[in-house]
Amino acid sequence: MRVHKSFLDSEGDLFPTAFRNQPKGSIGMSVDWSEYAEPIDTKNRANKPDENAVIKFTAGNARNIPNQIVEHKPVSPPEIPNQAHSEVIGDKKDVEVRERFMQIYEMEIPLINSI
Amino acid sequence: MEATVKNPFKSNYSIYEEIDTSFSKKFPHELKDPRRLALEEAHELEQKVLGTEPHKRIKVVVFENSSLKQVLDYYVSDLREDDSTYSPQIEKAIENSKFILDLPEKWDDEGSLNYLEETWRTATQFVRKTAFQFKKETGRWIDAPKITPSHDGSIDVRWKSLERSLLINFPADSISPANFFGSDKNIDTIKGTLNLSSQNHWLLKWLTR
Repeated sequence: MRVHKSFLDSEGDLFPTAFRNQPKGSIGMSVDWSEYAEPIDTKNRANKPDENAVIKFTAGNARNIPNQIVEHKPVSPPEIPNQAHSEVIGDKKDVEVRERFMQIYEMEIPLINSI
Repeated sequence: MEATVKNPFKSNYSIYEEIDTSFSKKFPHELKDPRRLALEEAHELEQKVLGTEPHKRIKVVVFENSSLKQVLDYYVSDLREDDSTYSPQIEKAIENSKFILDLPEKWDDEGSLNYLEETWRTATQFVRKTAFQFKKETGRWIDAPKITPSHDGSIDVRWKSLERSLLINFPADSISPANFFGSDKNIDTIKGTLNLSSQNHWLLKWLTR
């Protein structure tokens, strides 16, 4: 999962609100399935890769968080294709949901200037 | 001529109101008297450090013609330097969190509104007050939490210990309660809403258990 620098503190730790459904009003949080993408691919798909870190968590751990469902949703043309695209569907505003995501994530590619 | 000011953090005195009652009656027009200014400064500092309303903790015994300013100057400097009432680490975390107030609208690409100073004050006063209550009971300061912006103008406070973590969300809507969730990543969890007018340092005791 890609995380913009706006959601990282000076020590490179995520804000709990980094785990959110986007764009606003959508029901899911976009992630890439590692079966089909390397972390660097996920980073490079950003408009400004240097402004993004990449984190990881397992689908199993995400499914153990209350009301969270993981679905593989590949993106096809006419949009930019992304076979890895998946969504973690479910409300993220609940404190338990965000805290549990904070507990399961690992940093895969830190932001360059936060290393 | 005599004056005494007891440090309320080193003793458990109850409030004395002599300063406001007798002093005001005697000097109703001298609101800028150095003694009054010194007392106001002490109350302001008390409120900042503890998050309590003024007059709740400071015991001031004022005798006529006392040089209260001198005494309170001493009190204030003592309070500022006394690490039994002030955690530099927590104060630094609070200071660093001021960036939240400068975030522009939609900083998160979700249309988040500006953060209200009231929300930030509620969250940071909670941090000070709860950490101080924890210190009073356990004799040690807790590590500083992360204070970060969250959804819809709300603010998150997250504390971590070796085994456990705790996330508290302070909503922008001052009517709604703060929500919390804590976990040891396994089976021990706590979740609920907080009454901010009560003592809540039990959360930190749970966190460090």
